[in-house]
Amino acid sequence: MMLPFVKNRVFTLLCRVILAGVFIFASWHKAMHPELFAISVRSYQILPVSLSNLFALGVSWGEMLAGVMLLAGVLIRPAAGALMLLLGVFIAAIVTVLVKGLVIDCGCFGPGGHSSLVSPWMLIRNVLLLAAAWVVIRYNDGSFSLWPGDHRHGSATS
Amino acid sequence: MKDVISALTGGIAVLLVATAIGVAQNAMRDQPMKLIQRVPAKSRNATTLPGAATPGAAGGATDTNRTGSPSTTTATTVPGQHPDSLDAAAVKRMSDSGTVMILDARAPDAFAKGHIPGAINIPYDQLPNYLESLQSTVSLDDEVVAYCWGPDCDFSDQLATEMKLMGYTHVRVFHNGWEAWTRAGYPVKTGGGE
Repeated sequence: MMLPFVKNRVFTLLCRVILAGVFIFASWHKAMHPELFAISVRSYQILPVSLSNLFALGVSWGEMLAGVMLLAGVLIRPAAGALMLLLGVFIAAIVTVLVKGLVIDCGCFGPGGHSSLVSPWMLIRNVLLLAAAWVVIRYNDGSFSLWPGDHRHGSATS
Repeated sequence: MKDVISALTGGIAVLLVATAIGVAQNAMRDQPMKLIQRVPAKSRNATTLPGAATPGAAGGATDTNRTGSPSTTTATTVPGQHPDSLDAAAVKRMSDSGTVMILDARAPDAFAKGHIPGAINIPYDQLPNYLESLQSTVSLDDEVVAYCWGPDCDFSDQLATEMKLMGYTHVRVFHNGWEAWTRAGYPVKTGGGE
C-alpha cells in the first residue's frame, strides 16, 4: 500500500531539502575536525582501529558532498543513493551498539554540543531519513535542479 | 527496484569521490590525520598495574558492565573474573606520591558522586568534547592512570587506547577501578564533573 502523498512533487522536494539540510549540518563539524569524529567511530568498536581515520574522512565528506548535490540538484539519484548507503551503515552500527549494550556518544552531528547518546530514537530517525532518500530516488522529477541527471520524467504529481 | 539499485551504484561512486576529496583536504591541513591509524599495543596487556587482574584471585565485586554504568543487580562474585588485587594500593601509593595523573573515565554524574582524590574526569563516552581539557591538563610524557567502575567496564581501556593513539606514552589502566578503591576504604572526593 502506497500513501498517495509520497508521489507528490512538493513532498518529494521537501524530502530532498530535509535530507540535504540534515546531512550538510551533520557533516560540517565532522569534516572540519575529522580526528574527533574518528574517535567517535572507534568508540563503536565495530571497525578495525586502523581503518577508522579513513572511514571518518569518507563518511564526513560523503555526507557533505551528497547533501550539497541534493540541495543544488546535481545527480540527485546517486546523491540520494549515497545517503541511503550511509544510513544503512549508521542503522547497522546503532543496532550493534544497542545489542552490545554500549553507552556511547553517537557522534551523529560531530563534537561541539550537538551529540547525544546512542538510543532507539536514533534508529527511528535514521529509518525515516532512509525512507526520505527512497522517496527522492523513486519520485524525484528533477524540478529545481541544476543538473538532475537520470530523473523520472512525469513520475511525480503536483 | 531497478532505479534504487542504480542509485545505490551511483551512490558508491559519490562516496568514493567524497573520500578522495576528504583525503585531499586532510593532506592540506597543518597537522594531517594519518589515513591508516597505527594500532597501539593492546592496552590491557601492556598497561596493567603490578599485581592487577590476577586470575583466580577472586574477591567480592560490584557487578558492572561494559557500558560504564553500575549494574542494578546485586553484587556477584565470579571466580577469576572480578579479581581483588593489590592494584588499588599501588594506585594509592602513586596518587600519594603525586607522580601520576589519575583519569576517571566514567560519566560526569558518577564522578561528582565520588572519585579518587586528585582525579580528573575525562568521560570516555564524551571524549571528543573533553579532548581540549585532556590535552591542556595532561602532557604527552606524563605518567597517567585511567580507571572506570571495575574490571568489566572497558572505558578505561578505551581511553588508554585513544591516548596512545594521540601520542601519550605512559598510560596505564587501573582495571579494578572504583570498586576496588572504595572496597579498600581509601578516601574519596565528591563534586566536580559537569
